[in-house]
Amino acid sequence: MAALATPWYRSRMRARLGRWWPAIAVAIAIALPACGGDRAPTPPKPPAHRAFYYWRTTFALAPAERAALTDVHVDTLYLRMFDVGWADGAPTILGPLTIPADAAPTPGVAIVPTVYLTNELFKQVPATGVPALAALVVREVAARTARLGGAPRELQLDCDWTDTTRERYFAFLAALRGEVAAGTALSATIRLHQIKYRERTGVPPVDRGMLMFYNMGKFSADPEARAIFDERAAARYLARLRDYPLPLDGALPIWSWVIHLRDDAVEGLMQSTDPTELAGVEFLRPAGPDRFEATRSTFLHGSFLRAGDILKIEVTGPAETLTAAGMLARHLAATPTPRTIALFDLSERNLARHGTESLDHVFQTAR
Amino acid sequence: MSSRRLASTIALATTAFIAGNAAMRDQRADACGWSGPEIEDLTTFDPAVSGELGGAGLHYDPYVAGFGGPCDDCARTAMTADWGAYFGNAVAGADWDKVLYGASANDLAALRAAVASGGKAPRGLEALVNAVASRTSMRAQVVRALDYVALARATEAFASFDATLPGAAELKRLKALATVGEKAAAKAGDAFLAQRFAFQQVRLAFYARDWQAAITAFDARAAVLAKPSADLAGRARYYAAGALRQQGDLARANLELARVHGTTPALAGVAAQDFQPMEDKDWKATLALAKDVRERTELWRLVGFKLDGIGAAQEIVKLDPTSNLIGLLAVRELSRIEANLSTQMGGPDPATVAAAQKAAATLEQLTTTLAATPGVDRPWLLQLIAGHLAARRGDLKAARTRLATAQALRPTDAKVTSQARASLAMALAQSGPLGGSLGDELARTLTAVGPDFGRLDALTVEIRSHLADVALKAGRPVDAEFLRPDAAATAAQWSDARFLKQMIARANKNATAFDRFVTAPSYTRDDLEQELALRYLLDGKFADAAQLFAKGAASDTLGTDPFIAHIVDCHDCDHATYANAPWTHATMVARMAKLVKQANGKGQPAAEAALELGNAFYNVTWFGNARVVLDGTHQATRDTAAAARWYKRAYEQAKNREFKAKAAFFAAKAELHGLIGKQYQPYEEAGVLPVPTTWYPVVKTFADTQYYQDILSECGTYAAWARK
Repeated sequence: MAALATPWYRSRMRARLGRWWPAIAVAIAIALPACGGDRAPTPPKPPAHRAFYYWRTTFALAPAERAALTDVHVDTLYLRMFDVGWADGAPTILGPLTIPADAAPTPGVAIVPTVYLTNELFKQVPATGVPALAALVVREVAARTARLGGAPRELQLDCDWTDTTRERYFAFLAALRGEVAAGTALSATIRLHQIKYRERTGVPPVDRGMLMFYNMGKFSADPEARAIFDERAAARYLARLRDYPLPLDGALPIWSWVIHLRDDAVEGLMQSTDPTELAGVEFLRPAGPDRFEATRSTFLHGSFLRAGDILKIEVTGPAETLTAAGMLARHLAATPTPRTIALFDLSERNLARHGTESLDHVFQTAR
Repeated sequence: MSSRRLASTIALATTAFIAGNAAMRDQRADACGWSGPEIEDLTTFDPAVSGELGGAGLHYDPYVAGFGGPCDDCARTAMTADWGAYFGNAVAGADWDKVLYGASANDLAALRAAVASGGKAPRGLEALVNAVASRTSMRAQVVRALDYVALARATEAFASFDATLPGAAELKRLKALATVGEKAAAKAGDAFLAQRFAFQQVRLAFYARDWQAAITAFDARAAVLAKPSADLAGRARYYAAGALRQQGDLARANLELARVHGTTPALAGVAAQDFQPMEDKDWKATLALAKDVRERTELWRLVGFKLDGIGAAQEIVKLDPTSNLIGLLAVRELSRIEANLSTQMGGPDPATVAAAQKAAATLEQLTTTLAATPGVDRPWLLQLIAGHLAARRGDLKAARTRLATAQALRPTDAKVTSQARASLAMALAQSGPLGGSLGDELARTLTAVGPDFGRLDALTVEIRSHLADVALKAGRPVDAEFLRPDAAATAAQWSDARFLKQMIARANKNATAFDRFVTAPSYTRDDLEQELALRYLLDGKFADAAQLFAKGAASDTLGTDPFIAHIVDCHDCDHATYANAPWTHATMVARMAKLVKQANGKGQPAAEAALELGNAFYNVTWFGNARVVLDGTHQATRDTAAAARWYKRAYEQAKNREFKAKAAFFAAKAELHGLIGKQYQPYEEAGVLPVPTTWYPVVKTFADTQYYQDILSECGTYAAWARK
């Protein structure tokens, strides 16, 4: 869920890979000695809050999405409000959430506004600008949450900070504390590399962390490579989960995507393309397991496909998400209050692939 | 209409498109703070050879956004030119600019009255009234023009980034303005004003957010809008395209944007940015709407600029192999490939290289085939591209043939000649280990490339770097170091007098053109002889060093005293204190030669000489007061071992206890810096100082001396250790 400045010769592809790149870019290769693993049975944990991330730019829940919130007993929706980047020498709100006038509330589901902040922002913003940035974020969030029915109990910040931006980002988080209404909890997304290298990247001064248990592989033309969730790669991060000094919630992947390949190199990521639709596209033909080849040059969902290009499907299905849930459940430390398990992200397509029963099973497993 | 307002008008239409569009390729990768290589440093094919005015965006440049734009002052320039042509000499441009950009609505009304009936002109606008007063035949024309400006000014009030539907009152006002405009248009009297009034009708409908009305206003007035101002015609089309997009007619919106891109340079960049086919269906519809093959090829070229140059070029070839829209795409793709293959910044990853090589193969095949097609546009350009690609993969034969063909097709074009020579030099360099005539040919060819060749520096660096790699693989580090200074030979080699002698010998070898090419812009013999002399100094071979200085190796004034040392070092203080000291490289070596004889003797005199030698060896390191001796050479060092050895001898030979304390402390300093040099990187601040465990305890045994007291009072580090 982030973007990161990159060297010139890789930046073009990464720009197209967008917010998914950075967690992958730190792709961790060093395996820690295996530890943890199956342990003796522990007392039953309290049920977790069940949540989804809503990451589209217009807040309009489809009927199936509304139904899923009820059917799967979801009580929290992490709602992306906007991104904050750095443009023309100042913090800039990017891609703000559109809330239609007729947007219906979500009874029984708490909204947690979520703001994505680019790492570049914290490279650029001066220390003296941090308080104003905090005030800006709170003001912009409040303007939107007011239209959704009241003050949120929590504000979540999403930033793939690094050791070079940690000081400024943490100062921003501290400044936020003085800006939000009393009683509003602050949470921050935590990427796997930030767990593993916590001594270098630090622990953010917030009330809770939301562990993003995905984006752990590399984008690659290799048919075996998996970027969203890779069980073997995931295992490498687990050893340091239990003693992380913040109460951790967990975010699990349920999405899929299509990777656009040309000349055996990654050309781009087609996030809005449903893998299941490819078989029915007239100008695509199967080219091996989970691969399709363009038979002529044309457009698909805004991406230009040249004849001969390959579309590689990467699906996170119920089995993968359940595996991820099980791994997390065994390694997350108990928290004083029920944790939240969130699925990324809420969409009709993801719901259709996973199904209510399977999602319920995931929530039960990961609590 | 103020220029700011006009800019906002253009921007609004742009914004209408940008919303919802996906991020594009070729957008600026780093907005600021970037100090890496430019595209000119990464590529060796000069896009200027194509003869097309690429400018911002059209030539491939990963660091520049846009596809033919932006152009901040184009709107004003075009408007000034349009009105200037309309009024001719009758109205001064500056006077009319005041009307266009400065006059308020009240001013315009008063001005109209003054022009129409000879009334009083508003302040500052008298010149216009006076100009018209003497040309009564122009009065009606200027009155109509003022009516137009008033309408445009009123319309401008509605130009806004807000895409929401205006309120009822605003809609009413917009409608009223449209009615006024329609009536005025009927009496426009000439094509110039008719076009402008028609333009305002499109704008009024657009700002009413009545997309269909805007499209209709454009379509119904298509003939009137088309001329005389090409710029205004493009702007009207751009509004129409925005309305089409808002209306959901993506197919035609993209077509109109491609037309704007092709006909209106001032809007080319924004039109290309907004151009965004989404699905096969709308793209097919766009192609079907195009009125002829030319428009279809223009559509594909825009795809090429934005998304995939090779794929687009292939499609254009299918439609019209003689199209003149292929050349620039091919040049862009060649630049993209070269940029992705560039070895600068540590070089690309293997996957990027492999993809770039495949792209190069596809482009080479495309250009080679196309170049052989009868009637093809700029066959010499295609031959140049194909020749350059052959050169990059080391196919000298194919490169020679194609480059020669290019030159034969374009014999008087200096740019083609330069590019052909540059590409041939690349081919020669890539064709394998160079020797004999091929090497000489490379040198001569590269020398013959014109100085105005836009990629000369990159070409030279690329070729020399490649040849350095070849030389290294062939076990010729000397050649490699000359070809790529400071990047081929190792520190160990530079510390070896034999290697330095080989370098000097190579510098003297200049029999062939290739010999001179290897050594010419690199190390000089004087540099190398000084390096060797300094090497001898560090190796203790003072006689050899002195001999080289005597023969003319560079010897400079040092501006310090290299034989002085203190309890606490102060590089800058010593340079200030001894700025006028007479020491040079040569006299320092001579002094050291004398001292070494004395130091090898016995007793206190030997001790004193040894201490001075220790000082000299200490001071030439990074830590001393005379690092200038080795500065800027490969002999620069942080190694204090030689100093430590001479201090030890000074300590051993000394009879005087105070002197002994001094020698021990200097030995401890040398030991300390030796440890720092091992533990920390150059320029890295030593966070925790290591402890010289050999000499600190020795120093402590001299606690009864005055010198020891001086150490305690001056050197906090030692004092802190001693207190423990």
